[in-house]
Amino acid sequence: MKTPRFFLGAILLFWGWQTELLWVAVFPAIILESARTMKTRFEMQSADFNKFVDISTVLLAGTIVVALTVESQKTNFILLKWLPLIFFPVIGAQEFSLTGRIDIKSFFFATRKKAEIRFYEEKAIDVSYIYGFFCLMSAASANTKGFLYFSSAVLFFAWGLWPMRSRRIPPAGWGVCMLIVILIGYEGQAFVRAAGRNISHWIMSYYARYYDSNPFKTYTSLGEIGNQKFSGAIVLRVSFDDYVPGKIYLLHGSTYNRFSSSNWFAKYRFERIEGKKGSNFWQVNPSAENPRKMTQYFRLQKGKAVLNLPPGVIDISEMKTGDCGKNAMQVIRIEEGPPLIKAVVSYTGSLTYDALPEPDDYFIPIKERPILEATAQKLGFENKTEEEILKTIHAFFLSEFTYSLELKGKGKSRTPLENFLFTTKAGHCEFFATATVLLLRQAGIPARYATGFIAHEYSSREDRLVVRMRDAHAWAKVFVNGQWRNMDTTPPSFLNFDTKKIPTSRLQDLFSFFRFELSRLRHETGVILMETYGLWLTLPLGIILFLRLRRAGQIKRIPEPGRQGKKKKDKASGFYRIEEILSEKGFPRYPYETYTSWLKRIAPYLDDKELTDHLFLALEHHNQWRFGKNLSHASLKQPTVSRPLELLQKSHTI
Amino acid sequence: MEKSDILFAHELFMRLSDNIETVIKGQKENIRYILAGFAGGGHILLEDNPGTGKTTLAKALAKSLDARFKRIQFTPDLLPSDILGVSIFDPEKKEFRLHKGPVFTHILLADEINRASPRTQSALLEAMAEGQVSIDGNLMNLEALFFVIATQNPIESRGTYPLPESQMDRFAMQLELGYVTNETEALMISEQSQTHPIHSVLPCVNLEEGLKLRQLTGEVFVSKELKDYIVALVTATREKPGVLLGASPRASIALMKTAQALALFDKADFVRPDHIQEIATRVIAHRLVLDHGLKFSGVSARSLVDEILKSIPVPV
Repeated sequence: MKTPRFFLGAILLFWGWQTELLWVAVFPAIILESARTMKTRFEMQSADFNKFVDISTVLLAGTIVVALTVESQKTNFILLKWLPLIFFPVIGAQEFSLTGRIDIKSFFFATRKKAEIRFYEEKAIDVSYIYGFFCLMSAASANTKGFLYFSSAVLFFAWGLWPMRSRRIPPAGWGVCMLIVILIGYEGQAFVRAAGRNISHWIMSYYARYYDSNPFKTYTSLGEIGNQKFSGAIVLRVSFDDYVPGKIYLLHGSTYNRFSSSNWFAKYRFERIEGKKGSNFWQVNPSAENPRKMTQYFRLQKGKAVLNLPPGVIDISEMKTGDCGKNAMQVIRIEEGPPLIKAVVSYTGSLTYDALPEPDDYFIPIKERPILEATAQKLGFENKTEEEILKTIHAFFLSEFTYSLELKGKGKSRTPLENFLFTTKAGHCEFFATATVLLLRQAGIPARYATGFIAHEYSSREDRLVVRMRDAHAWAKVFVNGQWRNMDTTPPSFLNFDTKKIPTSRLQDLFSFFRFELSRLRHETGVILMETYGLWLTLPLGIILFLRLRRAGQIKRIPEPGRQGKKKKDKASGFYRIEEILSEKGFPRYPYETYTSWLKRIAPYLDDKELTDHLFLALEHHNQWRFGKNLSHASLKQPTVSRPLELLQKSHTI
Repeated sequence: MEKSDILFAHELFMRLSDNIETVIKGQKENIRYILAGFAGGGHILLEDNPGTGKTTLAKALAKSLDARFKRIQFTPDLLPSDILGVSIFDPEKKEFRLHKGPVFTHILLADEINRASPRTQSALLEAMAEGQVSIDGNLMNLEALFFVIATQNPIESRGTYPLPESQMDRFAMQLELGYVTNETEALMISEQSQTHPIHSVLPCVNLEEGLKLRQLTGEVFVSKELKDYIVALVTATREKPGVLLGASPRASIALMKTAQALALFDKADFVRPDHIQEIATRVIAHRLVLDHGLKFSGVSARSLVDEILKSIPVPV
């Protein structure tokens, strides 16, 4: 059974409205509705339907791939959202086909060939209701809160079911039944939602432990970066305007200044950075002369991130985020944004804006004091200038210590630091940085502990530096000669060491690259990829298919039914008007059906004896006028058609 | 065409139909088609399993018409001369004298036609097509009203020679009777407990009336568009992929004539598209020769014609 007129169009527009794809929806809606008004039809064999089903299958597969690549966690939603467009070829083919139905076998590869033997006879179905249901489901993916969706869905269901109702029951009875169903449905969905909430709570609490990487936490413990060292995944992509091959860039993420029992803490308030509305420009610090520029891309996890930036950030542009804040140590964090963030950063290249030293920057925990004093004595800091002390510390770590990723606890020593300084003399960046900071403090020089990434790996494929998880790094910030500067005492060999230790997978990189490029295409242009290009991507497909079908001579445009000629000559028989009205009311005639068989088919639905009788009477006259011999049409036309027309207008069942 | 003529023809149809129905139960539709075939001047092939009433139906029609009726039981050893006749030398007159065969009649029941050898079959089929036979070089005309009802068992039955496909074209339509409903069958056996009702059938239409019916059928109006529609249906069978041999123009003619007869049956003096659709499968399907591939994939000639009917827009 066909859907009522304008039903599919309306439901498509509703889908477009809900999913904010209104302009995308208008086009298919017009096409589908025009199928009812236009008489153009194509002769579709089941092989042709197979092709249209194939197109939809390809689109479906393509959407799955794109959705998985772009935003894997939202795959289902993306898929659901685009469902109406994916299956548009099938419904379009059906609406413009002569039979107006699709052989059910077309939908399954397995049945296309084999099943013909067993079920040859009529297994054709009309997919328009199914399609309508898909659209409604898809509109739900927009997930708008409130009563709107439910009430609209109810309206569409009522509209779609109205022509199919039993004619034995008066419309009021039908309405009451419908109302009961709606109420049950409403209560039911409220119940399902509550149940769903409980279940999701339960699941979330179960999985919560895997999700505790909070980018905003105010402390870091030794070993945290060491853990990241084992992953080769690309987390950042950066390019410097003044890139020098081979140079190593430090990208600062967070700074901490209080050390206590293997943990570094920072207690600074973040203040909002004022951004110009809509321009995506953030003035982080007052501008300075000769700024340098760099661009970076990274993914936003759960809508939050701490930026990893070069020293002395002046401003950030082209960064689309909801909120951006910084603290006195130049830690910059963002909240709310698209999954891929682009940031164009201008910076001075030195730690120009870090807050001046304060008591915390001299602080050494009591626990660590003895070992630090011992070390300081050994190195002989007295009577040395600050610069000399720095050099001594550098030389000390370079000559006596080795780099190792093996995390050793405190062993027999009292603290991990003691273990590092006196026993193992080996560790990774965190230990070097911590020891450096504390040694500097012991020498009376203010120092802070900084974490972030190093950028050193140039990717020719991407023509930019890629920063991997394993490039996470920690170093010291030291205040000498009235200025903060970075001091990295980790032996430079660690780069080679890491690269050898954690091999990266080329395939993973390639995949990451495509994923990145796709995301970039989506987010940089500010519009969603499919919205802009979807139509243009599918259009050539459609054209190719059409040409193919045409050339093979398989798709045949059916000449319009022969009544046209006569219609012009004698205006029209009134019966054509009756057909139009009934067709509008949801009883269209198949082009191969004669009026008699059509009326016989729909008579049970009309359920109006008087009307049906008059219709058959009118048809008899119409046939006489149409196929009979030598009769004057004028005398036959009006009197017989007016009565059924009148009844049609009055009839409450249609 | 006068109103009285229509009524007369309709009344003839009804008389025949009612008369046959006293013998054959539950086959109203097929009786309608057989009569349409008869009025349209075609020959009819009944194909179904043994015992479904083919012969009885043919006999009932023959008996209802007050005309000469002959029956040939086809057997494998039947010879063409057994159908056409044979010249025998008369020793007294010293000349050959023709003994006319059963083909010289008005109504001929060719029972189980597919049991005879192809040679014998073709002798009859030739007579059906030409309306004349040649025996010993002499051309002889058959009766003006010559109507053949042939019956055959489905090809799969043992000991049959399938009719050559091209010869199937000679039949205007092929009908399958099928089994009747259980109630009808119960009624049937109770009626036949004493005597077979076929014995009590009396002629109700005479020869002149029969000829008049045929003449009136030819006068039923067929509009240009419907003729085009008929041709479109028939030619579509030739273009369909997998069909080795499509329907011939003879099929178009037969379709038009039977549709005309159906119109008369419905008391109309013009053909409606419904009449064409109603009979199309029965007139066209048996003429088609399908590709083996198509056959094995489960497509029958009937389903193919049904498909064609659904693919061509009908004039309304």
